[in-house]
Amino acid sequence: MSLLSLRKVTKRYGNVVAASHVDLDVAAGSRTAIVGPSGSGKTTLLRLIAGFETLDGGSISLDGELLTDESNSVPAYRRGIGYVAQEGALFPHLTVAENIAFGLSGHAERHARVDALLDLVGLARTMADRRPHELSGGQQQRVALARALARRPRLMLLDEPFSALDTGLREDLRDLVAEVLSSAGVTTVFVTHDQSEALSFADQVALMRDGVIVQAGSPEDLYFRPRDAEAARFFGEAIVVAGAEAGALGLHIAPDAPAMLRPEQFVLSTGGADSPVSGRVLTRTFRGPTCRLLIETTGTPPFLQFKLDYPSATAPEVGAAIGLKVVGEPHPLTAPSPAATS
Amino acid sequence: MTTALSIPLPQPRKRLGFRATPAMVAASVIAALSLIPIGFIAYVAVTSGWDTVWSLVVRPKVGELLVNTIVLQAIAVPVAIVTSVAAAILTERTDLPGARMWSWLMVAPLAVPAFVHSYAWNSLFPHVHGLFGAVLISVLAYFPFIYLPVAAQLRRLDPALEDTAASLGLSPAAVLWRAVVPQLRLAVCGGALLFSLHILAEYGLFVLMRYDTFATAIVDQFQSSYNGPAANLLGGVLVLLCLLMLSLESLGRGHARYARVGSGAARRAGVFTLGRLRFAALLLPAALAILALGVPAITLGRWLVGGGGAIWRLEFIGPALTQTVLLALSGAALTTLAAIPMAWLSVRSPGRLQRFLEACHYYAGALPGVIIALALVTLTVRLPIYQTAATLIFAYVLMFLPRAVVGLRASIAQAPVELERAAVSLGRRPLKAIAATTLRLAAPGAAASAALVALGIANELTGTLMLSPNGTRTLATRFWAYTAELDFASAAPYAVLMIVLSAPLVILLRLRAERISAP
Repeated sequence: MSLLSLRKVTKRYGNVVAASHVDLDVAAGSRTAIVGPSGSGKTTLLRLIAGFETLDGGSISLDGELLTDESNSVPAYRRGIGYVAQEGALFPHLTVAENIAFGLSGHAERHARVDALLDLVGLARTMADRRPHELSGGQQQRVALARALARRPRLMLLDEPFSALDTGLREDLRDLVAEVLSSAGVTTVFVTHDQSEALSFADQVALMRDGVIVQAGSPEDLYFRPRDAEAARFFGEAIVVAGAEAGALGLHIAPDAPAMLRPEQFVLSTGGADSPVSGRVLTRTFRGPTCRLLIETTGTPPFLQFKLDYPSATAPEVGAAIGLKVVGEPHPLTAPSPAATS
Repeated sequence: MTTALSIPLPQPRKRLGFRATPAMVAASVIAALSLIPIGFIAYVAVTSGWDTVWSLVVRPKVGELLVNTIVLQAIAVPVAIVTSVAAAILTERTDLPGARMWSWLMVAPLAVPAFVHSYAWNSLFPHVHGLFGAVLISVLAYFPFIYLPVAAQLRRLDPALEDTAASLGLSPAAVLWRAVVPQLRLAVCGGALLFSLHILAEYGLFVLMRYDTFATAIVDQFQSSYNGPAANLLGGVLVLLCLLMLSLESLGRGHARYARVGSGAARRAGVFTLGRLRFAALLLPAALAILALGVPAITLGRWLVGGGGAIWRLEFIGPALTQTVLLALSGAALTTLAAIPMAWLSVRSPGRLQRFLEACHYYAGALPGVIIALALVTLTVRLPIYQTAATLIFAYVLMFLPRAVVGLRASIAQAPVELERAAVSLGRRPLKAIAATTLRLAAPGAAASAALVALGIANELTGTLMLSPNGTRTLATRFWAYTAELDFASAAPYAVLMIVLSAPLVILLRLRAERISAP
């Protein structure tokens, strides 16, 4: 059942359209990632849901209750929606415990609740009296999460919550947040510009571009069945082929539309005697566990070039002849994208 | 094994002591000169003997002055804080009609010297005097010192904090009270200190309000008996009060850090809607503007119209203007020059010694002009420089050194040392590299801070009254002489000229605050 529904949500800043007729449904208890390049309108959408901005058209409802449309708007502080900002936005004049208890009313069991929340986000209780500037970036985000969870929100919004953190810490914290949110059963919408974060963290991914949701669906859907070439490339390396190029790879696709393959759909064999397609290695860049190879097909023209990652231990040398086989079907792309026409 | 690893490795010891660079030597000399006034007070206290100190300090007159000063501070400081914070929130963060215009008007009272505020009230409402008058005029003349930093801080706050507070269930009013106002503590402390030190040092304002403070008593004593131990020991009490204020401020500031954590969101903070209170809220800035700007305007207008052409006695006004401008320009040039070594050191080689020297530079400025004047009179009375323009200008340098150091430091910080290094790596000799990069970039800021010093000197009254050579008549002292004779009409042109000279001060301060707080 969908908890959060956005219908034709539109927001303009002067002449700039930040969101245009956005429709989105978020199932109860799920995690939805809104991804897109910077300036695509994803943060605006989050701020509209939170109630920090008013919309120019459409409506947003939560649990069947209308939050906002053109004429009415429930103010942010009455929405019961949790929000974690990019760098946590902890109140610098308050301690960790005071930050966490900030939204709690009444003094009963305040202390116990703060302790329970510290445990939940994996912070030592001895940290309760520290000030925000004495915490690392990751610890600050944990406090921000605990503070937002303290009010048991119906919906949790996260605005690029991990982007200010180092790579290693980022993954640890991502796993922790996912676990905490799942165990608390809180529906979550979060914004990120990092596609791998979106794919690994979310049940549903919505790709935004120029204020429009280009495609929404499961992470697998968006990765293997993107709507257009741009969407395909946003989520990773993509080899887009059309017409005769497909023929060169021995593929059969519709003549009027391009199709996409992920590099990992190519099985590479050295020697290449019994492979349907032959090729050779043009360049080879060592990257530790894998090498990135630039491959060119050598069979029937046109000759295609694309990059593949291959285990370093057995990677072929520059100039080596190789064989290529495609597993799985190429995914047809619908072009042109809606963004290009609007 | 692990225990062995956890023992910290011996760090290569930093060499104690310091290199005596020319900048370090120059800054040390100027710091030593800055300590003259406080050294003088200490000397007086030590050499007077306990009995003299006891008989001159522990007496009813001093107790009365102490009560006056404490009562004045205890009322005026909180009133000024509440007024300034409310005005700053209204003009910076709400949909107050004409907010931008009001925010300029809230800084404008600084263009009117405090004793001109007093004069304006005195001639329009002669019954306003005593404690009430003293509090009223102190607040009106000096509240912008709190308003400016608070307004700047309000513009600099991270808007994500307010969003978060709203998402945690706080109504807009609660967001303001629990998330915004607590962040203003540092700005309020700094502004309140400046406000309080100015009231401690102020002379003209309180004479006209017939309210005795230490500064007025010292000048009285001084004028009746030069270099009397009574005046000097009163000065000692005043210095103690200044030190008390400095420590109260650092107590109020605490150890907490109030800068935003992380870089924060780049958005500008939203606006609080006043709703039905929108027009009622106009009352505060309007009242402040009428009381702090309207009253001087009406008084001056009345005297100027009533006095007609007769009060513009150019044979007196001309020389006073010339002398004021000459003193202001030479004082500003010398002060800026004296501030360069310290400003340079604090940007380019910060350290413990530099912090100590910088504190010396600032403490002289925190002392009232009357103390600096007392010290210089006593020191120079047997020297050929007694009652010369040189001594007067030296007093100005000590009084306005902090202003110059602050301004210069900010403008030197605008020119990172990497630029100089880049110029050297491109083949410039070191001095030419400095000229081509740092000097070029720091020049506008240095000019602005020199202007602030010049404007301060142009309106300085107390020190000028006590130190000026015979025949020196500045705009301020001329104005003061006429006011003392109750010739309010003849004083009016001098007040107008001082306000006109001070107008750029307001613009500079306001623009600087805006630049500092730009996101």
